[in-house]
Amino acid sequence: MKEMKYEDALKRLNEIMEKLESGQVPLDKTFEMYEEGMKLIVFCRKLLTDAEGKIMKITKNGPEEIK
Amino acid sequence: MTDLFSYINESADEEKKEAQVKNSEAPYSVHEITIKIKNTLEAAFSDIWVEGEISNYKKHSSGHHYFSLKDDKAVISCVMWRSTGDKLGFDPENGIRVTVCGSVSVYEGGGRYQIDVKKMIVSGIGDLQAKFEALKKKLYEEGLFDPSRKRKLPYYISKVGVVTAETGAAFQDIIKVVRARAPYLNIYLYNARVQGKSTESEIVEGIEYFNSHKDFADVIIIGRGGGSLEDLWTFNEEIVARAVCNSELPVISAVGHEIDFSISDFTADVRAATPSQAAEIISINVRDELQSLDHYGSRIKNLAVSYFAYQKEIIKGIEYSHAFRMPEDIIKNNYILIDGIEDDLKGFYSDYLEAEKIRIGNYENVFRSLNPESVMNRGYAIVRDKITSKIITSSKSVVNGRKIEIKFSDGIVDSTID
Repeated sequence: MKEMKYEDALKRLNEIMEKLESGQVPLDKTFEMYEEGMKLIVFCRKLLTDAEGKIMKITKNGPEEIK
Repeated sequence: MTDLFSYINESADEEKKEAQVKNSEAPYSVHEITIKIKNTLEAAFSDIWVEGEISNYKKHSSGHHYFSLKDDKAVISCVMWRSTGDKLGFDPENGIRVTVCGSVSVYEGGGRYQIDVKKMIVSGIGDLQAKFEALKKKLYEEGLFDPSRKRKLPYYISKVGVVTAETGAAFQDIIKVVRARAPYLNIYLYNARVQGKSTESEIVEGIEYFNSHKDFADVIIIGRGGGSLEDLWTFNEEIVARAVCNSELPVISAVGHEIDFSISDFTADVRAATPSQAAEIISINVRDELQSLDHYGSRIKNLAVSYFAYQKEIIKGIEYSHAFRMPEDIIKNNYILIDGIEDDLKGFYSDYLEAEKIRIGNYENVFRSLNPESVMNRGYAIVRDKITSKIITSSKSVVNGRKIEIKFSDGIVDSTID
């Protein structure tokens, strides 16, 4: 999951929703998909809320935080 | 003597002739001749373009502008009325080279002629404009503006490389927008001068820097705030335009205001009207996005819950069906399986809820939208072996001739495998 891109996670979430809506998913798969969907949501939320963006200036010694 | 006499006679004849001309055509009055000159000049020199250097510039208290245009051999007076002067966009001053468009007018009272100026442009800018158009044409013909070579930006961007002046308004605008919308985003500034001689190489260095340090940037923004064509010129330099094209990272060009176009705008993957807009393009609005993720969460949960609830109903139906008695332990096992899944499911979600402190919206609407019967109506059925009463879950577990029973939502039919 770590290597996954945000937009891939959203795409997969949509797929899961569509499949669940179709009612064609077998019993065991339904739970798997549910679980996967929840993990994807947690993953996406983390990307948006966990990181605290910094403002860095490139100097001769590399990036240095400003402000 | 004869010669002298004849000469005198001839002179007398000349004088006679001249007198005759004067008598036949009355002389002009000063006014008359002036009007004649006026008509001739004004008809011949209307809407003409004249280039020269401004001198003796004076802005009268009335708001009208009086000045001369000169070159190394001549001077011509000019007047520009206030209404024209107000629309110029720059202040004329002595020494600058301009091209004016206007008509010659003659001022009878002063015996002078002048150019009545309707338009004035700085000659230098005219050159820049020509340069701009020439480079635009050249790069266009090379295919550098081709939409097919423009890359789409990633939706989620965690770091952006900004090439602009640290002290400029553009950088402040970008920070402001990103902080408000997407606090997760890292901004890396490559401080570059954005105006003046040789500044184009600093922009190019910035683009190259981020391409060799991709840990600091998913995309690059180059840009600056508004200004005149001259101020923005750095972004019209060919090396900047080409560096933008050659960048492996996608580049957004955000130069000046909405009305300003630069060559880098045409070669960039994305043109932003302003630096603020560039910041909007690269940032997801976290508040909106979290809401839509919550919506996903509740929708998937409801789909799963109602699906399992429906499975339970089916098993219950089988349990109480006299026609298809099932060994009690199979039913129990099924209950255990489904209850377990349901508990897991609820547990997982409530953990998720508490951990993330989410409020679920639209629960009811979403729930209502899922009709449990639709599962069966879409063709869901249970297949059993007629003899053993066991549920058949695989095509491999049946052989030709085996009798089976198919339970639909509204009834049961018998069938035979062939």
